[in-house]
Amino acid sequence: MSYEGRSPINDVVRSVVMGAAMISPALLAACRGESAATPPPDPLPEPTATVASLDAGGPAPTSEPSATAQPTVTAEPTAPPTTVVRPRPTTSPTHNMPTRGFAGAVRARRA
Amino acid sequence: MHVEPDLVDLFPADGAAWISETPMRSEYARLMRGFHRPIPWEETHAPKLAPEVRAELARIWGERIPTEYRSITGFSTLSFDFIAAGAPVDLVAVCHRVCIDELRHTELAVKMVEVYGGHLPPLPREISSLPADESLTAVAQACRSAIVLSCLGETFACTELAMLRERAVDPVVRGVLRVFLADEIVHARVGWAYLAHAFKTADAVTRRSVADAIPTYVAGIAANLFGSDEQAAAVDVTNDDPRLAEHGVCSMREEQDLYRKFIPEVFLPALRAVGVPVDAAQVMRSIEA
Repeated sequence: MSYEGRSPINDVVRSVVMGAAMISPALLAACRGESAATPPPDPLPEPTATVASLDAGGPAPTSEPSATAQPTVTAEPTAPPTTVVRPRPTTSPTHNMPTRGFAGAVRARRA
Repeated sequence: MHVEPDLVDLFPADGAAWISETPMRSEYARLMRGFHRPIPWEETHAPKLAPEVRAELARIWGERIPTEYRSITGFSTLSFDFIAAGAPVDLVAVCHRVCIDELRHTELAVKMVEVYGGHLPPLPREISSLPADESLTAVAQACRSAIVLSCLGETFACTELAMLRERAVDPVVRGVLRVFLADEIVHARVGWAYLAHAFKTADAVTRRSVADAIPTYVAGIAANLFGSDEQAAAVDVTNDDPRLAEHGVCSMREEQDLYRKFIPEVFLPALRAVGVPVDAAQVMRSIEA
């Protein structure tokens, strides 16, 4: 079975990454190794499954972080001890590698 | 106790054992509804499916119940990291919204198992823990957690869900996947938003320490998808039967191919655009076929 339908890659780039990370189409194109002559993705694409869902999920973050938030980043405090941030460490061999949100979870292959 | 009937009807597990039978159930029902469109449960194709197809779909959705439920603890931990790092409160709030969404997904998975006539597994009680390094700054730790959970895990989930929804024909499956996708987009965005915010002022040491962990994260998920020398592939929600493709299931090969496309075309370019000095060559080596 091989998927031959519409590629979800560009939808995700536009709907998730560019908006949330405040990345311009030109910068992203450059980071994808595309030619400068390559037209950048349309930041306001036609409605698709992803984009329609995006509307249901609420508006994108504002384009600039608030001025009051800046000092919290520059403060760079030392991380609290792991035992404080994560109160219940587990001995499970899979404890330290979460996977994908939708289908993710480490589990044994079924017999 | 008064519970609005239209709300209860939307939430499949409302009568299940984990509902408290306290007044909180009405509030819970409202949270579960969120902003989503109702799902046309009566239009399901399940009765028309071959028994073995129905059974496999029940199994797959049953696998997702503990997965979705357990992921609440991952995002709870991320919220701890955000707070420790002094993250802006809008990001902390969205992080907590994710936990509510994961309960919604658990409920939907329960309903799908019921639609296909399967058996419900118990909810897990284990607590997920994210990779941690006490030598990091709080900001670097929060960036790492955001990357592994949100920028990598949830963003790839969006990619896969978009594919699954695109070819699903059952209106119930399409409706359920639409809810999942709408939520997962927010889950993915919160990580990218935090990363972009933090990297506006991050120093070189922070950038480097964040970037250093990324090959391990990509390889870790790849190991779950593809298996490794020490451990078989961990994912159990795929099936090669093409009949299932119309019902929101892909093959493991499709999933692997999508991941190998997602990493160089979405994940790595976006990291570079944000300013993460990731070693792309090392990352790509970890997912070679």
